[in-house]
Amino acid sequence: MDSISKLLAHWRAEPTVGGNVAFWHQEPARPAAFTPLSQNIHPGLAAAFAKLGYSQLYSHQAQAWDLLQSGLNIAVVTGTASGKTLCYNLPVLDRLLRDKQARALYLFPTKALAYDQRNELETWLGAIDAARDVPVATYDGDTPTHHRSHIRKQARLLITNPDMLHYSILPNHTQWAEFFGNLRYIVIDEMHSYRGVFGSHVANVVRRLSRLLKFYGAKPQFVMASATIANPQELAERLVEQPVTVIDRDGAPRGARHFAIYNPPIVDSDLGLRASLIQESVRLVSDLLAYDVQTILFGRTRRMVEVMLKTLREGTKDSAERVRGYRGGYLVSERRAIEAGLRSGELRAVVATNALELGVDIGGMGATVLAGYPGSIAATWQQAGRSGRGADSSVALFVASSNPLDQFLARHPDYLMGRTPEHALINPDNLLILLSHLRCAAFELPFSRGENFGSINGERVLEFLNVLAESNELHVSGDKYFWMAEGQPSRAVSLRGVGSDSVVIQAETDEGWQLVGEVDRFGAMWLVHPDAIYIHDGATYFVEKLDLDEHVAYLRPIEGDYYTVPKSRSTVSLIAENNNDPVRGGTKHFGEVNITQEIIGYDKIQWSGMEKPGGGELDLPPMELNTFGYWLSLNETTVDDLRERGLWTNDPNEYGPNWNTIRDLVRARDQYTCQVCGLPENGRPHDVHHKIPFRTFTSLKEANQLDNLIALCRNCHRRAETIVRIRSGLAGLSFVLQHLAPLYLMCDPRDLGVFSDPKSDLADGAPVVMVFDQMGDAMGFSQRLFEIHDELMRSAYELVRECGCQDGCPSCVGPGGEQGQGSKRETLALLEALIANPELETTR
Amino acid sequence: MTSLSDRLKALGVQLGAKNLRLAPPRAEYPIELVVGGSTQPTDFGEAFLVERFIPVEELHGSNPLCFPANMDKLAHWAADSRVALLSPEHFLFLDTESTGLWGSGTLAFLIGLGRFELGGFRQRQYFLREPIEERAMLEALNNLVAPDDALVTFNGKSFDLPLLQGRYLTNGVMQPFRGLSHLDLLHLARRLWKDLLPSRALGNLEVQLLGIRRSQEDIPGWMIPQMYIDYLHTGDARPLAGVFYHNSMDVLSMASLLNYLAARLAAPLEAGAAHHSELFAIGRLYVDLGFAEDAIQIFQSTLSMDLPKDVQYRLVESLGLLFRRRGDYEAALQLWEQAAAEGQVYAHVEIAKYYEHRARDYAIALRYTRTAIEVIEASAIPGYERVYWQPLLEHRLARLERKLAHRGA
Repeated sequence: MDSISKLLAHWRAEPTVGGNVAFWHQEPARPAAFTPLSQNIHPGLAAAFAKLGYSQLYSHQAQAWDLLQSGLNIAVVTGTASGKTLCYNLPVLDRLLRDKQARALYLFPTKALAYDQRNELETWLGAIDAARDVPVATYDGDTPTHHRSHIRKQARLLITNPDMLHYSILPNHTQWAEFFGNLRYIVIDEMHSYRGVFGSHVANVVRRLSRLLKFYGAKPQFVMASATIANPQELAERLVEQPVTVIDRDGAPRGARHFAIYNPPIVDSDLGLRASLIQESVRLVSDLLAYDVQTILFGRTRRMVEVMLKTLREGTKDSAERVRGYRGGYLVSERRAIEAGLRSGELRAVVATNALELGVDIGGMGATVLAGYPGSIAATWQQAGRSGRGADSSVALFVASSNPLDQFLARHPDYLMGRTPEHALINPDNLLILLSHLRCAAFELPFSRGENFGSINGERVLEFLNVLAESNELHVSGDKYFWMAEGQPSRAVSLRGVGSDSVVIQAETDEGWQLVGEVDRFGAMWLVHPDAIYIHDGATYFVEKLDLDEHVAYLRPIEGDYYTVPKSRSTVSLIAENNNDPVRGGTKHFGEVNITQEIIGYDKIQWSGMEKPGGGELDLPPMELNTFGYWLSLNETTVDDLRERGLWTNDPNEYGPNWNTIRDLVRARDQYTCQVCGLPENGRPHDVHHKIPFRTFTSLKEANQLDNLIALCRNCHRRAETIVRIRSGLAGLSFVLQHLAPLYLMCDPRDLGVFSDPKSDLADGAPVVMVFDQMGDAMGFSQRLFEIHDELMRSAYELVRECGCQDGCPSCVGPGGEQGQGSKRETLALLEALIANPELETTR
Repeated sequence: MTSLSDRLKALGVQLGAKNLRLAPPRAEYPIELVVGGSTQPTDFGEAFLVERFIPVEELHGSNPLCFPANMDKLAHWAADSRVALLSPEHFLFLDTESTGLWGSGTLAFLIGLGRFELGGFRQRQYFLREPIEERAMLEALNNLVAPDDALVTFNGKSFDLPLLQGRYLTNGVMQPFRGLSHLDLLHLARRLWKDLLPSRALGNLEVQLLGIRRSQEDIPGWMIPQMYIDYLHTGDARPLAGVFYHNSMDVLSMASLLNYLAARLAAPLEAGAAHHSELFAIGRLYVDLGFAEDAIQIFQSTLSMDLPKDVQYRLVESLGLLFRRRGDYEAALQLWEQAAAEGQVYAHVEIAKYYEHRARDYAIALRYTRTAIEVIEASAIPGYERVYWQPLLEHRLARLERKLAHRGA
């Protein structure tokens, strides 16, 4: 029995583990499906194949080979570590070895991934005798200028990213004429990352590329590779606008895979408090380490990663060599070393954020532990998919936090298991994105009247061209539209939205100032605000100074018993309302808004998890986003009606005239000590908490019974409140819109922000739900939502009504707290008030 | 249904150039009325051309326009023997004005050409009245360039040629430049006047060397793209007169510059009061081109000038090296002794080398090695030089001591 099976057996038998496992699923082992290497492959490549220790192909690799030989475009969607890379490397190298003129283009979303693949390719080229005939080059922002012209002339396999294609290669295509004219393959790896606004931009870059390829008379095949998404074919075909065949039958062998949901035990039955997510996750990883199972522990935030790392190291010997952290903010060299340590097996555990989720080559792990729900089903399976190494068994554990979403999943594991992963949505025809790329395309080659742009027909293209000609950006000459404005249009278009400048983190050590890491400006205010405790790879530092003008944070090492958690405040304010219209139940609005987030102070938390007095206030510049929003304000009739029917839970609680007296009584009874963690009051009176939520009572007297009240410190109070959270209909509606709106806009949920406020300044104190563009510059999303308001509300209504859940779930209005309430009834009632005639619609 | 333009505006789209003054109204004023010119038919439509002949007696700046008497050294510099053999009318001077600095969407809207003819210099300027005429213009240029022509440009290797080649590619027309000889005068100007002139821009060379003054009409280069863009949008060609003037002057100055450069290279010492920095640069160029004897001559006469110390040191070092290569150790030693006396480390080393390997007098070699070590230890030579010499000298010292001991035994 291997060590994982032994540990699993031990866990099953152990009540402090097995007793808390809410769900356990085992996928049986699956043997490899092999296919012999094609006879037609270039002999040099076949020799390298054998030299590198391969004897056969997995069936999906063979399928990729066959489909490409027959001239089709493909998208490979198989599991992590199933050898997707070989699906394209083999046919591409074969072609390049056979045809001395042929060229290939590899696109990766990031430089780091390009770097990994470059190494992989070098291994192959090292084993091929004729490798000198196939010059490979990486072309990105780091490529020195004096190498570039050589690369343009020599490279037959070019590795780059969409940004470089957009900024540098396409606008200078005449210098690449030889390359484009002989291009035979375009490889787009990590296709799933091209979604939302970014993906919509990239699809237009592909349109520009295809337009130039047509000009140079080349028609290369596309090879795409992707992590699991619900709609690989749709995404692939929207990206390249050609028919694509999906390969998803995975021929790689797989050991038995266990997936378990672990719900930390209840430690305070009165309040329903569960054991700490961090402590429990670390305990499980310690067990895995004791059984020598290589493990990744995923945390949701950078801070959580560091706290877990520190806790884990305290109980592990030789921990600094065997256990590392991995997250954004670590230096590139550090990350490379950690990846290498994972591959070689020297590193036994890594605590990571989702920075490790995307593509980075680290080999398969024995186990992954997810401390908290990563936020989407796709991310869950991506992280869980890191475990599994060939034919060995592996385990992925999801440890639930007390967050309502996590608790819902712990109670309904079928939700996680049965659901298809998320759709990756793009909208290349978004007016603004399309306009940007038409400008770029016009610069690259003048448009002829009637010329298509990808799937955009000539007539539609002409409308855009005429708008640009009217504004003197294009000049019509003969039947052609020439770019005729100073400057390069591509310089003004960023594929990834607003960039942000980075802050360098320096610490003063015995050897002088040392570079510890780098974070973006936004992250800097969260992580290295003045007086913060910054944790890097388990070591703690005190932040002396954050100099945002100089982009430096100055730190010194510190041995403390606490860490810090920043407190933020978000406000939404109106810049200008562009449009509004009365709708049923209220008014819909569209306009320019300002979203401001401020770090206003911080709390100190002891390593034991207890709050420590002595947090502070901060005075940092606010982070502002000026963007467009669509919002709905409810009118008084609607609110009054809901309130009368008891379906409005947004009014503030009125605890009664003698609440202050009762509160003091309870604090005295509980000896001014937190009844969960034992923290005595220190300058600030403890909170008094209703065990059974106040809202659920109809009588003030009943609710304020002394045995329903308990004194809690602020920290424990927050935890207790999570468990009894009661959602309002307004919050329910914003939850629905959050995942419904992206479907209409064909954008990624992360491209939008949603917020609700029962008393909003945006509408003279009326309740408001808002959806805003997250990308800074207007993408036109809000305008569109404003236009389709009625349809959006009707869909929301149908979605909630038809959802099979009892009282709210992650697919509709969101779950309530573990002992609280969802808001299905309230949300439905609200939506009924907002749509024209629900009863009539139901018969449709 | 609202128009696309209105929808885009509602989305907050910025249309047109940023910070733009209101779009100027159309005010047709055709180029023909501004610069004259005529159309030339091609297989792909008409090309617009302005032509001018400058008789040989007309001055450009302080000199008449004439073809160099001697192209030998220039041919060597260009590593292209054809250059020395071609007759003057095969040299095609070329300069373009464009709509921007880089990118495949940048148009060459004005191509200025010049060629020596019997009795003078003929200038042709091809101009795009409309971008759609580009193909005709490229075709006309094709008819003008012969396969045995040589191009003369100023920065043409990095700018004008790639730009034009891109235009030919984009229009699907074969380019006429493949395999032509090409003299890019900027490269040579940089080489000769890097230390002498603060700027090697053509405009500055005109003032500093060629005695050329441009009139008020001239337009600074950076303004040119926008002027053409404005012309297309307004239809008013009047402001372009200055652009034609600018381009014409560039081509003429290139012809002057070629003559000037050829003369300097052919007989650097004849011109009289040449600057030592230019002479030194020409001498080093000669060395690289394999004219060691000429270089020695230049270095020697430069040494007789009144020179700053550091220049003198570098000259002596170069000259010593040339003597050594020629095997003239007597002359070389004389220079090295002088330099060694002034504390030049390399000179000590050269002398030591000579005595060790040639004269085989290890004692003298050892003495010079020791003084060299004293020099680097005592004097204020830069740290990096000390780091460079120290191990070499230690090594030589040890070897010489070994050899002496061996001989002694």
